[in-house]
Amino acid sequence: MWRRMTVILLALAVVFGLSACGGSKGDSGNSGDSGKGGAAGEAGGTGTTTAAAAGEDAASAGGADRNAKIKIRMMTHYTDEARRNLLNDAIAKFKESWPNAEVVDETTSEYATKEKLEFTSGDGPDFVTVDDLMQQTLNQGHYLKDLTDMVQRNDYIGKSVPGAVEFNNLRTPGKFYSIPTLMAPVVIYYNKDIFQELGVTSPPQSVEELESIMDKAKQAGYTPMANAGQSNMNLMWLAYHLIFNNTNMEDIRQWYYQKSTPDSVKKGFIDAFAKIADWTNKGYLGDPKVMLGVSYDNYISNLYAKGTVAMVMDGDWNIASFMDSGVNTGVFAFPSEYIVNATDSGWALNANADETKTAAFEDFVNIFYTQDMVGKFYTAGYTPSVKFDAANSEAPPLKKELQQAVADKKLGYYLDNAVPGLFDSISRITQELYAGKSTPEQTWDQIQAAYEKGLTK
Amino acid sequence: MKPKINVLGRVPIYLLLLVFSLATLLPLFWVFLTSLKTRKELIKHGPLAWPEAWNWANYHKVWTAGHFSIYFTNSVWIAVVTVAIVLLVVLLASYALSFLNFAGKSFWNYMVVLGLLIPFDLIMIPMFFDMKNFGLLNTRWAVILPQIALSVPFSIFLMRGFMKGTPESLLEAARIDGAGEFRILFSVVTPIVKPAVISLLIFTLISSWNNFMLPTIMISDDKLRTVPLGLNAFRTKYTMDVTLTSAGAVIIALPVIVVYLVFQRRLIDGLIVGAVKQ
Amino acid sequence: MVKGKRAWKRNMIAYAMILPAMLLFIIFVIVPAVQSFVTSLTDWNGIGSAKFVGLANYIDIFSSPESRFYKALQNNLFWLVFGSTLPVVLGLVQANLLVRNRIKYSNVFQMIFFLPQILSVTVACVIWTWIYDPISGPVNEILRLIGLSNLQRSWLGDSHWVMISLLVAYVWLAYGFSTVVFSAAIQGVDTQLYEAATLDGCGKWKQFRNVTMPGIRRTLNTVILLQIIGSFQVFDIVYIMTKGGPGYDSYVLSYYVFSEGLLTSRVGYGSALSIVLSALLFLVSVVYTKLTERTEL
Repeated sequence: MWRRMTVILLALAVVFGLSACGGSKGDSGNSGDSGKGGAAGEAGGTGTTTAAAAGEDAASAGGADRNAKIKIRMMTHYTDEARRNLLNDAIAKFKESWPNAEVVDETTSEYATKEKLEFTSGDGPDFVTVDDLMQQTLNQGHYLKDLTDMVQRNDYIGKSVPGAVEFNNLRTPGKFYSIPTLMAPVVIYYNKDIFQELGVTSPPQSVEELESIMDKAKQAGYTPMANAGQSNMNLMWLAYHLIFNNTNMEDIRQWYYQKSTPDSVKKGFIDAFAKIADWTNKGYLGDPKVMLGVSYDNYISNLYAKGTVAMVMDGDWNIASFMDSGVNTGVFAFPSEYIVNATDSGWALNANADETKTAAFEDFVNIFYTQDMVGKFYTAGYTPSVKFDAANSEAPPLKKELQQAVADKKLGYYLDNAVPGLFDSISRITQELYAGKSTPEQTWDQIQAAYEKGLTK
Repeated sequence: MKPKINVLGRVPIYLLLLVFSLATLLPLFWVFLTSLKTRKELIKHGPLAWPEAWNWANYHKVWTAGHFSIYFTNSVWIAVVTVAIVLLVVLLASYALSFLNFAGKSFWNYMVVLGLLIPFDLIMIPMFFDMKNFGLLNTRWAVILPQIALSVPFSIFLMRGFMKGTPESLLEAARIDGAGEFRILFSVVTPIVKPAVISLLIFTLISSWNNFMLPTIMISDDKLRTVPLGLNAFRTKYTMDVTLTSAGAVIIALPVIVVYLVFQRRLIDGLIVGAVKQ
Repeated sequence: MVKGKRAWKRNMIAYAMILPAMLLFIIFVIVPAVQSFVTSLTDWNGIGSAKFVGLANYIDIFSSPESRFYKALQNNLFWLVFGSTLPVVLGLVQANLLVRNRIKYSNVFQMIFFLPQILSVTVACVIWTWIYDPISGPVNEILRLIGLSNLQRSWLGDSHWVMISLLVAYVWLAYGFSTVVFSAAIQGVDTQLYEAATLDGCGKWKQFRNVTMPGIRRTLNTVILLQIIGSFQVFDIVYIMTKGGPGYDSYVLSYYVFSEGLLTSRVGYGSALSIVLSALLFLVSVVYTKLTERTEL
């Protein structure tokens, strides 16, 4: 008898379950709305182009009522203290021209999961910051507003470092869904004292020169290039740079934007991995067994600060840690035309935003394009993608050195952002390469398999 | 007659306990030391060094950076309500499943075991959509109700095990005395399983207090956030400010320790009373 | 018939007692679980539309060459064996020491052993990562200081040691639970039984075997079962300390679920994995319960 009950109950649960999730999966009413919203936005945009002024206080969306009582929900990537303070500054400035606006910042460390969940359930935040992957994901469900006119009207492209504004928007050529203000370059930090001892006076201009420096360091008993193996990011970034150096960027874009996998890309990856395997065998990248046990969170204090490491590849976000390490540190960019550098968290707008919110959004983003705000980010240690004259700013020498090092380098991709979940796979698969457990070809095969699993249908 | 206490024989036992205690405490002590450091000195001197100064700045920062007093209130409210309801519904259900014969009993026992196997990750996403449909999203109940539901299997499982140890004779005696089932539960069985009740109270409290993923997806409003959510605000994509997080961890752990201390005495008192009665 | 009426009343009372718990459980756990099961039959990726694919996900898990299922299962089984025995044994030992020996300050000791349970797993694991750091961590440092440098290892980076290192951290975190539960259980054993045993001339060990163990048998079985289940569901420790690495050496099933479901966004596949994991657990639990029932007198 209880068996029958089980079956009945489960059947009921299935029916209930299906009906409960029917309304939320798949295309919600959003797709219909976004079509309308987008059209209205564009109509409003074209109507005001003639009125648009050239200055920073562009009277955008001229008809918008800045005294309107609106509630704006915001979710951002700005989880660290420095950027949170800057965000609060920006919000305060925003409220000066929008006094009756209520701004609710829902930023949380799990923004990736939450943004997806909330948008899918039809209740996404109004203003969001998105990275390349998130933008790609949200656009699948048409959750973001087309900002092309806003971009043109305010000439964000002209105001930014070349390639920055387009960077995350190249998957939708001609259309813009996010507006970036910061970049996240990966550079090579080096121990100035060791370099002096080795007689190296200027940054390497080619991979061969880099290799010879590593050789000298090895001879002198130092670890030429460190790698926090537990996450393996330093090594991954090194691999990406090698790939940029040996493959045509257009071909890489084909792969990155999920269009196709040219043979040149396959060859580029395999050659890069072969070089890494070679360097590992020569001891240029430390002892894999030891390095694989080093955590990214700790390596600067546990390893680099000991003064035995000549170079390490890391991002601008760790600059403060390097400055605090007690080691006399300098920085240069990898010797290639493109370096790993992406626009970090661009501002995007919910497709359902009405005219007023759209106007508010424009004003809000423009605050981040003022030289004052950009300067604040710069001083806080971040790398703006907005053109900025750093000459008069207060910034530590290492920061200025970094800014100079990346100034004439073109933006290259974090290749692990090509499809969702690829970062986790590449991290593991390259760990096995590093430990000598797989060949460069096998490494490529596994990465490509993971890539294909994550492709958008 | 009081048995002679062999002092010498006890030394190895104390030694063993001391060793265990040290092994347990060292990492914890370290968390505490880390919370007293600044990020700079952590990087410069490494994680093993003694802190430069007894620097309570991190605690101050953690408390004021978010609205920690609000987070605290929310965490307490949610934990207390969760624990209260869990204890009530679990005592009731465990009693029925332990001592009463009723139609469908095996089915429900089977359900309890099944429930132990369902991990939170499996139901996380559909639960979000269900809550939204119920209109409970972004309320405290969106956290409380699932927490109760999720702890039901484990709690019943634990409680049932303890309850079954109750001697039948006591129950028979009570029934002969004319007591109804509810009466028997609360007057006879509950005092006997008091240690289990207190253990359950503490475990449920801790699990609710430290719960991170559930409140994260259910709550967006900063005014409703719980303490672990506030703590995690100091994390970025690649790194974590460990000194701040350590201070936060200590702050989070303190109330639970207090509760544990308070109830631990009751635990012992209750047992002494129980022993005398017998 | 009188019996019928009494049965009805009995059923009513019983259902009144179990309904509150069960209702909540069904609405907030069973229903989403079923919804998840339905999702596992689709290829949903969390954003777009879902297409019904039948058992394709399940077939993929067991037979696809890219499936990491078997590697993860292997690690979980290792965890199962050591992760369900060690904390239980240690908990028993500690509880026995505390309760049966009339230790002064036993409640202080008990609290100390319980502390790891209270601490946030995130922070505890970060600390353990430091402890294991191959260059500056205390383990290797101490080994160096006492002259045993050749015993130094890359605790979290060496394929042979990573699971063991993780297990040690896990046991440290987990034995507080069994200590408290067993303390409560041992305290519940009738002291007269011990007095009788002492009079019979039984030493401490015999008393433990013949009085304590049978007396807490139910609790013992419960705790072991819970540890078994816990060892299959372990996630936090792996996620924070090694992310399943190096390579796939510490990859566990729950990390696989997380990676597929939340990172790669293959929600359908992730749900299928989760269901397989639950089914496995169910199997193990049933086997274990049957075994323990049989040995019970």
